[in-house]
Amino acid sequence: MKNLTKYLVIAIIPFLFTSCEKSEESPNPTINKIKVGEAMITDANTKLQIWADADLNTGYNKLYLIALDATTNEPKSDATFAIKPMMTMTMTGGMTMTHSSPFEQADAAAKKNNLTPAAAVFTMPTSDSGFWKMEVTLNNNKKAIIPIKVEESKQSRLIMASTADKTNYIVALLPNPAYKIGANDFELQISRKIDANTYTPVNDFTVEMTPEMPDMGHGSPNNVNPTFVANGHYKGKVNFTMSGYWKVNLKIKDASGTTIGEDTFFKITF
Amino acid sequence: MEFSKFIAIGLGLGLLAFGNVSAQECCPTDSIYKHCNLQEVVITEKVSGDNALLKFYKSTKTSSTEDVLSRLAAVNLIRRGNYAMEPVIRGFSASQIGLTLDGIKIFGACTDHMDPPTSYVEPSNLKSIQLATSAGASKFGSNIGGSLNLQLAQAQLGTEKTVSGMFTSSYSLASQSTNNVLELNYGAKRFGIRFSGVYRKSGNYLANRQEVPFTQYQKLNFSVNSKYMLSDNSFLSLDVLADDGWNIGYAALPMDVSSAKARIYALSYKVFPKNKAFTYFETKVYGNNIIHSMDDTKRPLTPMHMDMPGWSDTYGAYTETAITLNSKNLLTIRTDGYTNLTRAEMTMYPQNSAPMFMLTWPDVRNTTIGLYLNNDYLLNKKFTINLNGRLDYSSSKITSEIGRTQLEVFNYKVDNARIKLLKNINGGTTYKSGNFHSSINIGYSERPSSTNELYGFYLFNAYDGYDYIGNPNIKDERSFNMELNAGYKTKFTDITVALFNNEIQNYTLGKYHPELSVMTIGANGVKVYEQIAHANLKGFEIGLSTVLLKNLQLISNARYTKGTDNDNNPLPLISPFKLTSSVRYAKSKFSLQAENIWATAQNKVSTMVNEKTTPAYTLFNLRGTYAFKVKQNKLELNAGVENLFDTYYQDHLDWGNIPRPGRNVMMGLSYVF
Repeated sequence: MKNLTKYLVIAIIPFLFTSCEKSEESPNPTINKIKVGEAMITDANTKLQIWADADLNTGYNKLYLIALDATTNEPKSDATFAIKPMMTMTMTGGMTMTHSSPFEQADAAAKKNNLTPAAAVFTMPTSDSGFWKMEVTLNNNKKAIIPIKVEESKQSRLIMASTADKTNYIVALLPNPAYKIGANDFELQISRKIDANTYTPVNDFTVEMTPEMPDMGHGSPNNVNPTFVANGHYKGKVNFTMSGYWKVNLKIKDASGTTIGEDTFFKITF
Repeated sequence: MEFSKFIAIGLGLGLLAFGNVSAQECCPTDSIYKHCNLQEVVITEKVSGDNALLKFYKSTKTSSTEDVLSRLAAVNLIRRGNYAMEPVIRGFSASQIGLTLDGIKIFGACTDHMDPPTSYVEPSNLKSIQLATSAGASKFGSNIGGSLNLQLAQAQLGTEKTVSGMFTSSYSLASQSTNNVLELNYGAKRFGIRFSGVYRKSGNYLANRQEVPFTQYQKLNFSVNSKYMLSDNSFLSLDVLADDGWNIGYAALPMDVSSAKARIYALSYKVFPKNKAFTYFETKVYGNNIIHSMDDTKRPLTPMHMDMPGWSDTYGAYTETAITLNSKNLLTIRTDGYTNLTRAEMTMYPQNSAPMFMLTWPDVRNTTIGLYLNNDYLLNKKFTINLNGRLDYSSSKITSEIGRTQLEVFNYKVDNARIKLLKNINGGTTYKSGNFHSSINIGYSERPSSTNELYGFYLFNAYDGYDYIGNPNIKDERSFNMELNAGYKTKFTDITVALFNNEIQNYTLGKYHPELSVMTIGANGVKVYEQIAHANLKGFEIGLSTVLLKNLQLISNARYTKGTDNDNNPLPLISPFKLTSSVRYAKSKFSLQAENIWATAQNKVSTMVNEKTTPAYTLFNLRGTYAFKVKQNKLELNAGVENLFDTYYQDHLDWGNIPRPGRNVMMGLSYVF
């Protein structure tokens, strides 16, 4: 009996350990993430880093910001951030011009493991004639410019649409790294372009979604149209009855019922 | 009466040495005759005399299992090609009926019923086929439409000659097919081993002198039974069966089969206790693995190439015993259990685009444990009262994440197992007086829903041209059955009549859903399995065996089934009235058999599945045999003409407007040693 108790205790110990580890903050907050940019703010002895779930692609990208003590490499837990993506393009003739893109400002309240989430919708990839950088303001006073590289997304994740009155909208599909046969989360972020540097989330659109498999000519049943949740985000469910190439057709309408864009769709292959 | 009620048809060679036999004569003529099939009847595989009944069922030595089944009055066959026809018992098919091989549960690996378990078994593997329609139908599992149990042939011990056997080969001109069977038995005093091997190869057959494409097939089948006598009254028996079919055309379907493979194995222990209360005690463990691959590469107009493999693995065991409770009661107890895992995939390959994949059977595990009890009570010399029942605990579960998530598109919640208790109960009484016998049986039965019906995912049905979707929320089908049998039997004549009526509740069928888009290119639409409150199947069978003249015997059976749904509309795939007759003349070395099959038109068709009417047809076959002795052995020459008048026809249960074979001349040779 005594032995049994002993063995039981021994058997339980590893479980105690694992559960302890889980409740503590992960020693490496950036595990499973990719560093996409870094800069030093020398006068604050601070290293600024931008992380992402994957390499940056055209479309919607979730970003994570962290400030590290340049000497100790320890995270600065009280750091606050403000971001602004900027694209500098060299035009023919050598003239340069800059524009921004839709983004979601760093949210200090959502900070987790010293990582402050933000997001950016990159409207074009980095190229010979244009490059992206991220302006990051630390603690409302120190500014850093962090070069970042944006690849052309392999999946279509971005729709640029406009209305008859030349209002431009940017519809971004939030990345889903694991599409499956079955019901899949389908989330859009829609922004209105005010000018080259200003975009605002659109909160009063309606979206109708019809997936189809062009190679077969069939669709799928019981899809849930994306509906507005917050900050220009619209959430729904897309059903895929098989793997392969799907075309998810969207009919996006503004508050007055006018359709935005023509032949708007996302291509998804998994 | 047993003729229509619980038939054991002797197969193999020659079988019984009786002149004018009914199949039931394998058992003693006591009133509790129904269990005769469960006794180990040792049959000397030596031809002596002529057995007209055997030749009625198995008209050639190279007949297929389906050929034999088609002669049973209660059995019709759904035909999708010239291979692997699917048995239908009185209008019931697929999971409505039970199909077992010596009590072994086998489930085909094809989502489209292209490989019913009977297609993996050859008559040369078998000793008998047991058909049960009411009483005892649930012995091997829950079903509502009856059961077929194919009994494996066993090695014989202590044979006169240590090694005996048979070789037979036949050739058919119309399909340029060759059929070859080898059977060997080694019988020592305490140990025996029996081998059977079959090779068949068939080209496309002719109808109306035109080649019917995609009716070819090839198959190789081996079975080995080894039996060891542990003591005077106990045996250990090991069965291994391998069946490989390939290059199989399915003329009525959009795809063929590149490979259909079954591996079946079982180990059993049987003892006949010296304590007389126990008649026998048997226990068996078994397994079988089936792989089935469809093939569209030979079809000219395939819009897109696809692979559709399927797997079915079953493992199970049973224990059975019969106990003589007292001089009037015989109790049979059987407990059994099995677990079956099925998976079927579909991968399509569009040009210049990503392959498309889905599971048509989403990794479904079905597990069932059950108890069957049967008691025969001998009321007096004339009356026997029989009561039997089965209780099954049945569970179906999708075992893979991909299988579960796939069904989310229909908002099905399939995380938990579907668990059902299935109840089968049957009671009846038998009256026997002099040459007359009769019986009445009343039963209630439930059957498990099939994987297709529960979880099938866009399964194309070539019969009505719809994609079918399963429905995990359906109820289990159940049936109230009634069967009346009467018969008159003398030394020269045996007449039997069976009347049956099945009232089915929760009758399962596909309902068209116009809002769903088809998966299969060119399909008419999508149907989801749903249920109608009730349906009815009723009909009759008549059997006649009579000696017309000396050496001349007539055997004939007639069948008729009528199926109606809720609104009195006809059910699909119901065979019309059919009369099968054979007249056999046998004298010394020579025998001649003339056969006629006559089917009336079927005009009662189901519009729900776009069923077409089928005209009447009549067929004539003629077969002759000449046998002579070569030392102690026998050489037999066979020749026959099937479809003598080259009738262009199809049976109502044939899919896809594909004609049956036209006139065919066949020749055969067999050597028995």
